[in-house]
Amino acid sequence: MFNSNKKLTLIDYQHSYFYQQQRKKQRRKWCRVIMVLVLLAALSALIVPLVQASTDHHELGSQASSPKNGLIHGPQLIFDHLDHPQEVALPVDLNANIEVNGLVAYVNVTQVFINPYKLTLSAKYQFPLPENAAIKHLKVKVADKEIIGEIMEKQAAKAAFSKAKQQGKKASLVQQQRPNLFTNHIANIPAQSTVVVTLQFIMPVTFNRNQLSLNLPLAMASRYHSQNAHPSPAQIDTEVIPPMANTLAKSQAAINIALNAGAGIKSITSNSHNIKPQALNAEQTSYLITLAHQQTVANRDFNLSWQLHANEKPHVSSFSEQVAGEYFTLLTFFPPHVEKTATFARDIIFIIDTSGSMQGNSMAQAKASLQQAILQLSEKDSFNIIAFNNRVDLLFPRTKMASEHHLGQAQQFIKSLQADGGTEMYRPLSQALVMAKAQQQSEQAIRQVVFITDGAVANEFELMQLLDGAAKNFRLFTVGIGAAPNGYFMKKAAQFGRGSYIFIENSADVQKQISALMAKINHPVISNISLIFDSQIHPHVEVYPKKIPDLYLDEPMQIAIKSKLPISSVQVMADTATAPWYQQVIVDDSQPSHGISTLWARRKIADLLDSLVTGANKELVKAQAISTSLAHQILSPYTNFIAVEKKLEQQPLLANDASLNPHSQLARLAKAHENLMVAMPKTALGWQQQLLIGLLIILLALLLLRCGAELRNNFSLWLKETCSQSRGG
Amino acid sequence: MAKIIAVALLVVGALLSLQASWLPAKAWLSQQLIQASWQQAMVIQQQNLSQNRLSSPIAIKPWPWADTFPTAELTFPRLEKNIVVLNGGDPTTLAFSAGAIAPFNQTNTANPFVVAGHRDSHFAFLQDIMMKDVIALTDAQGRTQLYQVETIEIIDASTGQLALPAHEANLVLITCYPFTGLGNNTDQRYIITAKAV
Repeated sequence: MFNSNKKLTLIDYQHSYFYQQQRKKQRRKWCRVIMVLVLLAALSALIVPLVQASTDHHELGSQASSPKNGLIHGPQLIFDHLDHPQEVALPVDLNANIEVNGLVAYVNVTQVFINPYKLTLSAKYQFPLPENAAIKHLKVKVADKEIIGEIMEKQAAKAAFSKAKQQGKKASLVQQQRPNLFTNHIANIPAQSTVVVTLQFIMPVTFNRNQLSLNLPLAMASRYHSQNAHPSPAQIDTEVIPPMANTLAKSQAAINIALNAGAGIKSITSNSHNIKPQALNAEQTSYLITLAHQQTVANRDFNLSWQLHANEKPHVSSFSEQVAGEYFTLLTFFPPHVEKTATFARDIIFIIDTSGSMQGNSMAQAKASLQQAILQLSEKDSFNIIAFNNRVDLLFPRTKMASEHHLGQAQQFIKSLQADGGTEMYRPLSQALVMAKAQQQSEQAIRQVVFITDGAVANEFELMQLLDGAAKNFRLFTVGIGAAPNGYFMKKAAQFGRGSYIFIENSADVQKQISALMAKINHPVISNISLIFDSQIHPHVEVYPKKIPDLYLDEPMQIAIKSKLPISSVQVMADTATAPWYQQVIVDDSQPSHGISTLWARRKIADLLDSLVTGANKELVKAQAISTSLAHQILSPYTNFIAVEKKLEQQPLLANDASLNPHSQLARLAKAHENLMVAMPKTALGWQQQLLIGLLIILLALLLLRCGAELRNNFSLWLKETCSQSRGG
Repeated sequence: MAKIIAVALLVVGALLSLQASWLPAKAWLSQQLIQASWQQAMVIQQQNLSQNRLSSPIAIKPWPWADTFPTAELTFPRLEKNIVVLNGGDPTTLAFSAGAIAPFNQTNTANPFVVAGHRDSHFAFLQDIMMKDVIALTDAQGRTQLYQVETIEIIDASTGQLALPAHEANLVLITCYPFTGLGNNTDQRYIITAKAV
């Protein structure tokens, strides 16, 4: 037979000298490979524990450093108890209603706390406010008595608080210790009673590339106790339960959001919670958002973001509110979402501070930013550089077109700059404002002044007045440099010059930040915005900001207006790069919006404070700020929140025995709600994963070895050899 | 060529599996040493007790360079398991045995006693725990306290913090969830709370 023949020949072949040698070689090779493997294994056994130890240490370090401020995830109450100074009471119930109008969110948070001790205690209430939030209203309900917070003048508020505390009355006083932590003392909380705190505040919405988002610290970290006892959830495919209060206080923790975007919404998402959005109108500009599962307020911030439909033209939306016979209108300008717009021709003057205070790193940074900025100029632009200390050096007597030759001269000029001498800012600034334009430059070119300095000046007032009094056809952008620039001055200067302020903290960021600034000021979407009202109906309107800045890409803008009568329409006139721009905004006042007047009042107070800089009467400003603050119930530097109860209530110092106490049910709840935080470490080694990968690789290697044609031959030969040997034996 | 690749793969695979198996091997080995040092401490406690001397906790390091010591022993009669708990909840300690997390590492107080352990080594058996199971805790002074499992919950741990009722002398066991997960990154924790009986 064919098969048996083949077998015979092969067996013959196998016994040849050549093949025997070959097999010997093969075996020796394998021997070596195995030796190497064993060596490597031994080595790894030695090295791995060392590596493990070092990574362990690393993990330990990061864990130790992280939870520094980790406890303030949300509202909390800290009792002044002598024996338990560290213990924190978290709310047992939390209810948040949020109303979003364009770029303003009006938040109303109600929290319920319990005093778990058998003592009448004072406590400190803390709420981690979002950035730039403004408190509007505070209500504390202690043991069936309501205390409503009101704004009072500072001195009066403090006096009233200490008086009330002395008399054993309940009182609370707002103090802003850290910028983002709202702290409020609550005096005389009866033993084992509830404290209900209602807080209302407005906060801005973050805008980034047509994506708007809102972040609220609403943690509530009570625990859930499973009632229906499963034998072991590990064996059942259970849903994850976030730490929440359920059976303990029968709480109804909830978040409801009325979202009124003012423009078409493309999508709504939340990274932190499951939400259920519901469209309220056909244009999909308004939504009602609730949590998908009631009572799922996890131990983390609430986050909501929504995406607007991309627009090719700037879009203006309006919201209105009526407060005490006055009408407030908010115009929100949304920039178009386009990759590139036609650019305005610019006439840029760079002013660089070369005074002694800039010596060293600051000067190097300033020079680097200037060089970077020059690189961003286009052929349409004209430019000039002014360097100053106590004297002024000009690159050109007037601005020149950004040709290659001129740019070369500029680079030389920048290189030669040295920091020395005093700071005289007035002259370079005034020169920049009146400097003649290059002849080739068009009439419409915008004069932009970029001011690079550490802002160490003494004559702030003079400079502000110069900027305030100057003609309105320029924009001032300030760039703060160095360890601690005078940020206040530069921010205000930029505001007077209708520009913006950036602060470059890290020299590594010079290139990125300057490029971003140059790119931004390169693309004003619309400039020279003016609003026109019917002067017959509205003789007096108060508009903030008083100087309307330009609208830039990625930077929406809000204008708040107060009028005696409702505004039904506003005409908006502006310039785009190519043509004049006009839009009539119809104000829809059928749906009143919260928070508009607060925003207006806030702007007004800021404006009043700014007017101090230009030499307004201090007493007059104070009086006006206080009256605005009181009328709109918004904090100002001259006022304070105070909440005092009028009626005196007798409270025993020590509560009765818990069993006799009518509030014993409450007491038990309170006890259960006194929480301590414990850090949860990582509790998985993850060695199975690694082992699996390792084994897979070994398997792959073995397969590869077997599949190699030559090796396969050898293998079969070896098999046959052993077969024949066994047969022979 | 194929052979070189195959051999290289073989080496890499072997290294990986060796490193991986080193972790449970270390866990097992250290557990033996920890058991031994715990027994030693218990013997000394017994002697002290028989001589009627005031007993104070005895901390014997399982190996000379250890930066932790056994602080208690947990016994699970139904599962026929027992484990010696170390002091501290840092990753180094947890690699050797389950650890009691400060400040909840004090036995015989009014506060909870919190123990964390790896789901794929020391605390792998926690998945077999059932409601009403009895757990015995022996502390370093030789006193034994019985607990009964009251709740078992799976929680989200993305904040890394767990709120505990302050004045309940519970025993809380923490490990990662799901038990069958392969990697070491999970945001879920399996929390067993047992009440003192």
